[in-house]
Parts: sequence; structure tokens; C-alpha cells
Amino acid sequence: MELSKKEVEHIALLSRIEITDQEKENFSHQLNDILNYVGKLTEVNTDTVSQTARVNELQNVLAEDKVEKSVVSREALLSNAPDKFDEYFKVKTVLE
Amino acid sequence: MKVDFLDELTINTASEMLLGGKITSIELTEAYLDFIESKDKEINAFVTVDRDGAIKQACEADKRIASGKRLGKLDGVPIAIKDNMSQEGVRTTASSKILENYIAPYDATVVSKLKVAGAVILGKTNMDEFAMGSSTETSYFGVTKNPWDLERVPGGSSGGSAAAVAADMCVASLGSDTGGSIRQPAAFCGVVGFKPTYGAVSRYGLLAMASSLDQIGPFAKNVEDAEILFEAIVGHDKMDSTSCDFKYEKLEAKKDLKGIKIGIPKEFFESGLEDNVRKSVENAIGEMKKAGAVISEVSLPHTPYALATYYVIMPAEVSSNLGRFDGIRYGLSVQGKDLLDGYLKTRAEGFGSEVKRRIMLGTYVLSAGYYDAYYKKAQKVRTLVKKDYDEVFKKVDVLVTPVTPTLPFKIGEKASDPLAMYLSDVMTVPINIAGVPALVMPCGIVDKLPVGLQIIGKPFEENKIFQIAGVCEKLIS
Repeated sequence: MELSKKEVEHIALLSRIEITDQEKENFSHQLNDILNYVGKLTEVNTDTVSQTARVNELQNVLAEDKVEKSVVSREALLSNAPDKFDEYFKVKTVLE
Repeated sequence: MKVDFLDELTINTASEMLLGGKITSIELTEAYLDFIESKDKEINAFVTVDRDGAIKQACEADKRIASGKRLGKLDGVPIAIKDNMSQEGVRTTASSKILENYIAPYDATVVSKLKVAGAVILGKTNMDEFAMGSSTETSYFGVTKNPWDLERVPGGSSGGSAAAVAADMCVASLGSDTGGSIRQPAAFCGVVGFKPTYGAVSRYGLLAMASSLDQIGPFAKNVEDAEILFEAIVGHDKMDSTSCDFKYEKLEAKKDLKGIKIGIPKEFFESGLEDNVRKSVENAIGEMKKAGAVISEVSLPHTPYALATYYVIMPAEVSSNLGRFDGIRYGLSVQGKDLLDGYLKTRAEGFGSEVKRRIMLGTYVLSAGYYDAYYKKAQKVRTLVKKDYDEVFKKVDVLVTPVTPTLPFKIGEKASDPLAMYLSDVMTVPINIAGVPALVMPCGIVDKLPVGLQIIGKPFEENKIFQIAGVCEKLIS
């Protein structure tokens, strides 16, 4: 499988990263190198093998349906916001 | 008082001096801060030095010690933490431009545990951007130099934490390890580094990279210090749903290795391993044998596939975790003509090349049509890698291997070839894939550069690793 420049453009858009023509060129070579390398996984027969998403067995964690005060205040959480309005994060218009 | 013995200080010695009134935490902390100010001009191990905060913490420690309310061995001892762990009120950048001015609004669990233990936090150490790299060369704040040879890398991604300990700019430090980010820099800088079992230490407040692999662990000048720091941070935390209910029980120190079964996985000694690294490690194994260990060759047959597995799973998780950097809630924000354009521009300007590469790789392997071929396949091979470890630990207590195939490489040597850089992780990555604990300690010096040894244990048997490493330390030095 070879990644074309057009595919790299598409992946960049899905990744929400604007890339330059030079980056398209570089990334398509580099990503192809890496994908060729990881292609060696096809050598392993996994027909009867199940997937591992995590290595330790987790148990479902249940909590009482009770309101607890957040350890971090709203003010503190808003303190790094690039743009805010009253007690809210401000974003560009989503609906016209 | 003139403090000219920073190179001799360990957690234990510093702690005894503080308790015995030979020095105050303020004196010790100021000595470190002054030393950092001069020494770090050449090393660049710190992104942020928190002078005021450290002095305040030291002052409180002195009060506690003077009034007989000492909190323990770490009380008043100056340490450093990697800059991907949140510390309230202190800049936390993950060495990325996108977080250049981010002030963490809360403490990571490891940070609050260290504060509860009374440790003085000197500052935040340099790293590869978002922990993505093996050399600290991807840091937005410039490369960290290896204190053994300023033309070489300290390893990565926790290169700043390793170099800070090696150069005596702190007594000990914390790093994080996703595919070797504590162990490879520990080997390159000649210090002890430890990656606990997945789930042993809470990651709440750690800037996530790949959540099924990330663990926090200590760097120290000796095995005992690493264990002290580990004991301070281990334990269940309801804020990290993957943290385990695990109580650490330290084992008594041993004099020799009689009856200890050590496996040598042959796959770690095959092609690619430099002769001088091999010799140092084999020499250490010889010493363990003399001390009574039962050495046997074992096989972890899926080792050659672990790195490929990692470079699918890790970027997939990275692409998801770094989706949060949108220029809206925190961090760099570049205005666009609409919402989408703002995302595109913010992330283009805020992330460096390696981060972009991994987000794109992860996006690709998770995308429709490729998910089965890459992601699902890698998750299945992960099962096989883990099974290798389950099987081998039925026969042996620990495994001993090299850490890196080579000595520390030169700055710039691998920076333009991502795949060559990835291949330097070949001996550390399988341990994260399997989720088992591993400690790295110095085992020799070749061409004036340190060589490391890796001791790998069963899940949640970190106490046995520390016990064995404690004996090895005496054998090898």
C-alpha cells in the first residue's frame, strides 16, 4: 500500500492539521516508510487470537448517584481559555 | 553554608542530613537552584524552574523537621518532575508550543502525593514534545544535552529528568514511560530508572500520550532511592480508572542471588546489538551467576513484532488523546475564518513535526478501510506478545536484557529519519506492550559513555525487581 499525496492531504484534514506542500511531500515518504515497517505484522498468524485493548483486567467502577463538588473550580478551569464570555468558553458561530 | 557535595547526595543521605540538622531544606534547595542556574546553561534539562515555589516548600519542610513533625524520608528533599505532569499554578508545557503558556489549574496525583510526602519540587524538566521521541530533540524548548558528552542526546522522551539527576541538578526525579521514555534515557545518562506495572501509579494529571501504555516512574542515583520514590507515588486513585488496587510491600535486602531464576531472552541479543553493549551486559550477567543466580536462556518469540505493534497502537491512541487541543479551552489559539479553519491553523502552528506525523499515522490506521488491517491486527499481536511474558514468567523470576542496542547517539544523528529513531526503542517497547514492570540500572562504561541493564519482572512484583537490583548494584559497582 502506498500513500499518495492526495491521501496524505485527506488524513491531514481528518487530523485537523493544515499542512504545507513541503510537509505533504515529507509526510507521504515518512508515513510510507513507517507503514511498510508495520506491515510486517501480516507475517503473524492471528486467525484464532483475540484482541488485547488493555493489559490488566479492569472492573467496572460504580459510584453513588450523588453530586460531589469538583476539586477544580470553574474559574480555575476557565483561566487558560483563549476567549471566554462570562462563565463560558467562547467559540465561533457553529449554526448560521 | 557552602554546599559543594550535591554529587554525593541521595534521598537517604540528604534526608539524614536534614533530620540531623546538618543542613536545612532552604540551604539545600538554594544550593540546587543556584547550581541549576549555572549548570543548566549547558545541559538544558529544565523548561521551568520554580524558584519561589521550591523555596516556599523548603521553608515549610524546615518548620516541620524542626518541630518534630517530619513527614518521612522525602521531607525537604529537592526533586524535579517531567513537564507533562500537572502542577497547580506552574507552567506545564509537555515541551510543546501549543502549551507554551499553559498554567496547570490542578495537581496531578503524583504531584499531590509528593507534596504530601514533603518533597520540594525544583521545576519541570525538558522532554520530547508530548513525550514523542527518543532523544528530546523534538522539544519546542531545544534539545537537552547528555551530561556525559554534550554532543550526544540524553535519550528520551524523559531526557531532562534523566540528565537533571545525572548532572546533580536534583536528588531524584519523575518521568513517564510509554515505550521506553524512562528506561532509555536512564541508560543513556547512567542513572537508575523504573517503569512500574501498568496501573500501579495513577496517571491523573499526566498529559496523556497513549493511555494503554503510559506509566509514571522514578529516576534516581541508586536502586534504593528509586524504590523510595516509587513507594511515595504508587497506589489506587479513583481519578484514574485504570489504576489498580495494589499495596506495595518492600522486601528485605538480600546479600546474594542464591536460588533466583534469571531468564535471558535470546531475541534481545540478536543482530543490531552493538558488541560493546553486549559485552557489558554479559559481564553483568556473569556476576549475577557468580552470586548464585540460576541463569537460563529463554525465548519471547513475538519480540520481533512488538515494535511494529507499538507503532500502530501508540499513534492510534495519540491521535485520539491529542484531539483535545482545539485552541478553545486552553493553549495556543490561532484565529481562522470559521471553526474548522481555526482548528486547522491552531494545530498546524502549535504542534511540531513528530507530533503531526504520529497524529496523522494514528488517524490513518483508525480510518475506515484500514482499521482491521492495522489497528485490529496490532491488538491481536499484542495478545501474543503479552502471552510470551505470561509463559516465560512461569519458569523464571525476572528477565535480564540490554536496554538499547547502541551507546547514546549524537545530536542530529537520527533526527531526520523517524524510522531509524523508532528502531532505537526495540528493547524497551515490548515491556509496555505487555504491561510488565522493568528497572534500568548502569552496568558499565564504554568509551566514557554509560551502558544500562534492564531487569524485567512479573506484573506487580516490583518488590522482587528492587530486591534483585539492590544486589546487582553491589556486584557491578
